[in-house]
Amino acid sequence: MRATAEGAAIPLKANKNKRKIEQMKKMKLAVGLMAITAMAFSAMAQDSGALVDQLVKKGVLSDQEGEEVRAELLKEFSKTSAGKVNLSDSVKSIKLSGDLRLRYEYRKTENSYPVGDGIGGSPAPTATFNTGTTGVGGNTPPNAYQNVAEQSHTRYRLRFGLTTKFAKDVEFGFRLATSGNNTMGAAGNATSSNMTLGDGFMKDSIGIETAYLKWNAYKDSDVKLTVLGGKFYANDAIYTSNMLWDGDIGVEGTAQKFSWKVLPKTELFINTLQLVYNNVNEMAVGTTATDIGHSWRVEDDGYILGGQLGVKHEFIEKTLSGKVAGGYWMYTNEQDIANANQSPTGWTWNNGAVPLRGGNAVGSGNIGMEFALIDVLGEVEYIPFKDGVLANVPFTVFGHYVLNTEAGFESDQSGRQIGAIDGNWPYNSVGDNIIADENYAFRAGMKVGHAKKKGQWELNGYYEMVKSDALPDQFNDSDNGNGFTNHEGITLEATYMLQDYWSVGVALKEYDWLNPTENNIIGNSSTLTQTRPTANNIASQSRYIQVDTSVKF
Amino acid sequence: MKKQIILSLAMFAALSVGAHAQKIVIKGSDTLGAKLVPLAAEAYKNAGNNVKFEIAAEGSTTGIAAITEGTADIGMSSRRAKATEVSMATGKGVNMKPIIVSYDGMGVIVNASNPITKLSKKEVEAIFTGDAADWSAVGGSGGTISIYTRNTASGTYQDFKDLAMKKRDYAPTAQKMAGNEQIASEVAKNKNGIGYVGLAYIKTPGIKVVSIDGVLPSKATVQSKSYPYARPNFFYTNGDAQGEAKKFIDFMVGPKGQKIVEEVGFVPIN
Repeated sequence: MRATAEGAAIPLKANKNKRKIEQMKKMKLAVGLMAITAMAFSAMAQDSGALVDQLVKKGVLSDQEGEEVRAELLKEFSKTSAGKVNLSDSVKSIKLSGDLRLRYEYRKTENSYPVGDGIGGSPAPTATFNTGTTGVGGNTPPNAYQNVAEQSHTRYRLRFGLTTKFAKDVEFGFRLATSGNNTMGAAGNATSSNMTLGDGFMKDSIGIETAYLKWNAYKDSDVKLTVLGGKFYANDAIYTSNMLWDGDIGVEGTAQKFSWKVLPKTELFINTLQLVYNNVNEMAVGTTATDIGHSWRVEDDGYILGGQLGVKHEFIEKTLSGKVAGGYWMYTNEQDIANANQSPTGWTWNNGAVPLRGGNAVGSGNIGMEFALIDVLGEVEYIPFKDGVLANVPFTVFGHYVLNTEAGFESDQSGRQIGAIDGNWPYNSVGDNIIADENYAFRAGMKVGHAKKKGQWELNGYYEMVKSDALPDQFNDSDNGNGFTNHEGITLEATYMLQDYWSVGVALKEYDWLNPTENNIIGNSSTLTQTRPTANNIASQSRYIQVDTSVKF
Repeated sequence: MKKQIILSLAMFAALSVGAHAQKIVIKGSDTLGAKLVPLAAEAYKNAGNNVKFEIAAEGSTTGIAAITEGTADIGMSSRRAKATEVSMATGKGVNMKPIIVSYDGMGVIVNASNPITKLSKKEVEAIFTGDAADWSAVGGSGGTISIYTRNTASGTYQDFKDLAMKKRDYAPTAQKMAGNEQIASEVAKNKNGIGYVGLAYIKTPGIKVVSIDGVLPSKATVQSKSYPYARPNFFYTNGDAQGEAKKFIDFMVGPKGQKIVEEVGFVPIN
């Protein structure tokens, strides 16, 4: 059964042709793949569809071969981490970001208590020192007392965020940060995400620092309107400094940002803000027979409403520019919030209301200060050198002034608005005089350099004076003057970028108390629910030294 | 004698197995599975192939998933597999292989009484995303536009987003329909209706197809790729198909199969 020479030749030829066709096909596929790889070296494989289309259009590949190339590329892409992420088509981009900061911190806080300071009254004030000691009191303190608290600790702050951009210029973002469950930080602390090491290795918690929706409602080359809602950084919404708003604070509410380039080098901007700083349960207040009609009835939530008008101008291109803004910020329903925090006999309010505080917020923790702030701030940036060591290094002078037009007014537990503060205990008697000069704060300083990229550095220094009733001490910088008002002093900071993603820095914060009779107790204001500035609890100075290293992505 | 009995039984068993028809399981696209594939399956059987078909047309997503899960021999899809689907398949050791079996043009249809006869790509995007909610916004005589789309499991739903809407979301008011027939039927009933259907359905009574940037969907414009909403339809297999599945695919892309493709209203691959 031997095949004839002719008979054997036919299948052999057919096989040869088949192999040739297969080889050609493979070669074409290889050429296609190589072409795409070469052309889209840095692009993701899934974006090579247009290139495949072109190769098909030019006849390099057939439709079927194009599909096979596409499938092969997709297969390769699917092995990458990006290929495993399943995103909605409406998502235009997602950005992950975060940072970790390690900090060594030294704090020294001094309390002094002179003999016979003459401040007294009834009831006798008590003092609570950082040691927890309670009970020094009396109209005439018997002995001089000095309490020096020195603390050194290592801390860390972890933050992780995601920003998602959708079509139509809608953006959603959130940022998580370490929060609470730590001996040095209260849960949910508004102004600090630091966690102190050395708590028996307890697990630390994560909180939501920001969660917002941003809509770029209008945008052309000259005019921009952006609307923000949710929980966002104050300085993302308005032009401000951490004298008024700590950089870590995620304020809650809505904001609108409008800018208009009126001249080629001049831009006007208007920022408006509507925040809810205290949500109270209005319905729960006064719902029992004994409570209805009481003066502590809560009428409404606490809002911060305001806006600012500013202008940016470039005087000399890439050399000299400036920015200035003025704003008015009204804090509403402070009385209600203060009252809501009261717990009349037999009644638990449990509504989470926290009264606003200033250095003169006195009483048993249920007194709210009143605030209506006017602020003006600005900066001028100058780049004097184009060559040499200081080439393109910006020199910036800046300042911020805040005036509380309602300073001295506070609300007591019976719902009265009282002008209460004259330095005498008790402070809540009607008719007390307002301490007129406790109503302002300002900061002035200079920054040299710009620490953004590897090798860049930045020096920052400023003087700050914050009078007792100038601004609410829950929201301002948590480190300057222990985070309270009623302080003056300096902050000096230096930062150097080891890499684009890695920085080291050192800061010194040295602050004195302005008025010893209005001091707060040692500690961080945001961890306290009561800030009674007892007369015999005199902290005269606080000093912070912070050494940081941070990595970010 | 005993040996003969055993041999006979073995032969009987072998014959029985041989006589038992093999089954090809095909799942996926409604576009392909509603008419084309069932007709091709019948023709394939009529050509003397002793094979059974199990066809489930529930959307392209189900077809691709069926290949990944190994519950079908052939997955029908009117769209390409997504990166995440390929990733999932690769993770399970499945080699997702596409075979083009036909082309289709997604015709944009309106009610026969609608004076609109042509739309631009921009207008189509505006209508289906909800940017244009009234016919007057696109040169019509007024009236709130009613949008009919396929459901989310459908490859056509996704392809139309990709090709006609720059991947934007459909208008929230868009009503999702199970298949081409339902869309054609609803648009035929609603004078303000608009939808999209495969070429096989553009001659449904009560509707008319509009030109897109001056091009009507047809065999010629789809093959020349001048119609903007044209796309290939696929069979997906796990690697190279084997056995009856391979034979059926060869039949499908061969002259007989492609003749059915054309008869049903799709565009053949050659």
